[in-house]
Amino acid sequence: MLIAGPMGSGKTTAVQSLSEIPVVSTEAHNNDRAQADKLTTTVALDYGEITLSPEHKLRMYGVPGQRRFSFMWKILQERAEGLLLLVHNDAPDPVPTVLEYLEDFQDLIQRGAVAIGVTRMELLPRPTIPMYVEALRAAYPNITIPVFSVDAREAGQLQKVLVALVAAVEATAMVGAANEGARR
Amino acid sequence: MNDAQALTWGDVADRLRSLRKLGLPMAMRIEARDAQPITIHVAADAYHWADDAGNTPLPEGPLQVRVRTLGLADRPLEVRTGTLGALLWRIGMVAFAHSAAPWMVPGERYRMVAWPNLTEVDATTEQVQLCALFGSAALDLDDVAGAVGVDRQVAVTLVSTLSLTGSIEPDPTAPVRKLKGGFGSGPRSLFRMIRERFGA
Repeated sequence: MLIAGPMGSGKTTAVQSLSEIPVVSTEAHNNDRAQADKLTTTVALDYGEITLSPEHKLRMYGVPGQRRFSFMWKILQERAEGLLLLVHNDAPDPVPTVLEYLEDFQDLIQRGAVAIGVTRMELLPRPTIPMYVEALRAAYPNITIPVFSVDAREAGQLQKVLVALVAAVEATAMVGAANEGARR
Repeated sequence: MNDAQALTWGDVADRLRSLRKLGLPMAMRIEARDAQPITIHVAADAYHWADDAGNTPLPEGPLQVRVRTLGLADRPLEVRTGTLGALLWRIGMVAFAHSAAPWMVPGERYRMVAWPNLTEVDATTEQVQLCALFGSAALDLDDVAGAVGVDRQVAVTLVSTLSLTGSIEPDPTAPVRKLKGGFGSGPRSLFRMIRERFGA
């Protein structure tokens, strides 16, 4: 499972909230305080795990938010089950930011494997969730991309988002199989 | 406009849906005995209810409703208890618990165009599964209920509620699709594993 988004959106926090192992984070001093007012930022990956069964683990990768690492997103998404794209609502122009990031994840979008998590809405309630939905509908009229407000510190909220995301993936596959059956 | 009749939550839902379709700056005030009034600013996507702790049960009827147009002199809601979508979900779950919304067309296929905000509403795992299917394609209600393994009324209540929130639309031109198998039932289903892991 990939967790992506701009710097400061809560990716590292989200992986830490979900993971049952101590998260392996690669951080460095943040030289771009204009973009995100925090001391450190992730320049490689955050890695966490959730054990699903004795044989299965869900591996989570928080990918760096700077666009110069977009080559990494392409590699990782090929084997990903899904993507949680986080954006913080107090960022400049968060709605266009979501659309811009989604351009790099088209395959996952087509598989129904993307959910958007909007963080820090308690600090700034606008844009509202319906505003994000409207923009996504305009950009992807045939795909319903889930959008949820989320606190990256709250494991319970993130689990709900994860359940919905995986449900969307399996539903898309189920409908695809029905379409195949209809064509034969 | 005052509605002095004793109304049900189904009546309130019907009026709210009409107001939302108008797209005008309107306020609705819902009054019930032994409860603080609920004030809804429709275009502002907000409501205020002093009694509400987020999951407080809606007051029982009979209800009275007052609707008025907001003017330039009206101030925004000073205290926003929550988003309108979250309240509409709760109203829908009560209003349509045992029947379909009056504007629903039997036999129609439905496509969900927006997910409910699951971190704001109290949705069951079965409702999430239903949403996932309706979000993937325009589907028949009975077919989806069967795929998830729920009673038809569960799907009716959900689709009625989503139509109140403007999140689902009929699509009579969609091709007929018959879903096969049970949702998330396979031994290698990631959904089944995640559901069991989180106790959802």
